[in-house]
Amino acid sequence: METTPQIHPRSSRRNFFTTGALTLGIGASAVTITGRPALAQTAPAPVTDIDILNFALTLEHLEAAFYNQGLTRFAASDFTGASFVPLVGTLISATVFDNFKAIRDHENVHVETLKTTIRSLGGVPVDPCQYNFGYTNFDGFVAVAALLENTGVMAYDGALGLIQSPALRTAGATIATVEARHAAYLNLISLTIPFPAAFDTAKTMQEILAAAAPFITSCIATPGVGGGATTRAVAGPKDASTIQQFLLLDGTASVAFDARPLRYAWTVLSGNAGLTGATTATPTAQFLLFGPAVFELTVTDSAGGTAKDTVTINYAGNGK
Amino acid sequence: MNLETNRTTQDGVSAVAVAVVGGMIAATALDAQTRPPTDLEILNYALSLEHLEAAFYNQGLRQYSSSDFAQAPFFAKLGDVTANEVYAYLSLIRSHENTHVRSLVAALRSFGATPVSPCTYNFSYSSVEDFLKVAQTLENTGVMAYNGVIGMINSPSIRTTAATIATVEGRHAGYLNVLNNGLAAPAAFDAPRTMAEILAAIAPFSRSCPA
Repeated sequence: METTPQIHPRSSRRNFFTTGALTLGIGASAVTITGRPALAQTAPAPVTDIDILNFALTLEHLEAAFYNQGLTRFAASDFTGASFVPLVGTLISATVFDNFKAIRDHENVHVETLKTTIRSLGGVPVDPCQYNFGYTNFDGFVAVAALLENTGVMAYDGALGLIQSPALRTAGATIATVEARHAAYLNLISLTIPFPAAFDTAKTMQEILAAAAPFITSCIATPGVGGGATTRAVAGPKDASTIQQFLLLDGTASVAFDARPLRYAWTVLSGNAGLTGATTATPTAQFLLFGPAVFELTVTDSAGGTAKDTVTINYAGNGK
Repeated sequence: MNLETNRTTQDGVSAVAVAVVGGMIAATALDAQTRPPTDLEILNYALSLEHLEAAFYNQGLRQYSSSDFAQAPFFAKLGDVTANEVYAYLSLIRSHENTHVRSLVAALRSFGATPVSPCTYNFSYSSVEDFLKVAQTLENTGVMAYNGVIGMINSPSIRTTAATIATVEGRHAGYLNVLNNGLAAPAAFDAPRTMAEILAAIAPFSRSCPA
């Protein structure tokens, strides 16, 4: 009877796939995408194929930005001089840079293909966000790459069951297996097991967005606007130079990743003010005293993802 | 991940792979059909491929020891770490394929269907390097096979299961491409292939399939 040689861990990275998404990230971030288990009062409509394509595009934007940045930052010599190179031998080390360039090109092709497909179906492709991948050296870059690709596999495996169109399922599958090839390769040069289980794990959109959140700093460039991976909160008015004691706040510019209705929750973070209609898109703020007040808007999308934004309004008296 | 578990399950499976009593007839018969295959037909088609892969690794890793791999010329081009892993990783792939066989057999039975039995096979390799080339061909074929049928699976849960197998085949294929001096992922999209195309591609490996 044959025996299976044991594979000994040489790197603490071997375990990071189970914990990495939450520990490897950037730390505190302006962006919050958190699961909300208590959403059951209204069953959300099933996600559409366009929603799923935009979910995939969110991840492909993230991956493409990651490799576009990394391959600008690191030179071929960084690849040939990486710490793993002596351990993997010439057969593998000779092609590391080529493999990374191919992976980068694939992610960029995925982005363009998904955008074209979403438009052809009458949808609006999500834009890329601002990212912070948090690595400080080449080894860190490789570790984040492995994390992103393994996350991508779980995302596509989770989404394929939800896609209605057979043709889009096929397209999704042919991307999924490419992400799996990337993941196996990056595991290999990270000195961890390329194929850790007989079945990959399928994860929900909500789980994947939570895993991606630590890498996202903001989703649109406008100052003072927060945002999630694709769901974003926009609290207004941004220009309140002429305010009354009673002022209508405005969250209607907020965007849901799936274009379904958002739930709104406003709070007074600081200042002497009160709110009426705090769970509507347009509550009324009432200033009790002169001075600045900070209002925070939290929007929750159909998948339970949340995004926040704040607006600071200075009440200096009627007519000002 | 727990390789001890893998070792235990794989020993239990060897007897199954040795018992060659069935064929790929059900899948082959689909060639002449114009209607789309049912989910159960797709599962049996996948099983016929997993039988092939499992038999390939069960035979090859019985025939070649880790020292046979260590003496192969390509081994010298691997570093100490990756070289020592080759046999273990191939054994892990074998374990995955045997697990896929078992899972598909159980799934088909749970739906009241009869799982196809393995054929007898002829893989015609004569060295460790040949073995790795055939492994590369089989895994890349497996990826194209799953990609070709996933779109037709009606049940979301069966589709998810197929996807979680397909990506594992993709991982195997990526690794074996690297061992064979290729890019892990040669294109931005893997190619989906029809059942007829895949069955034609693997026909040379099947010596006889019981009716």
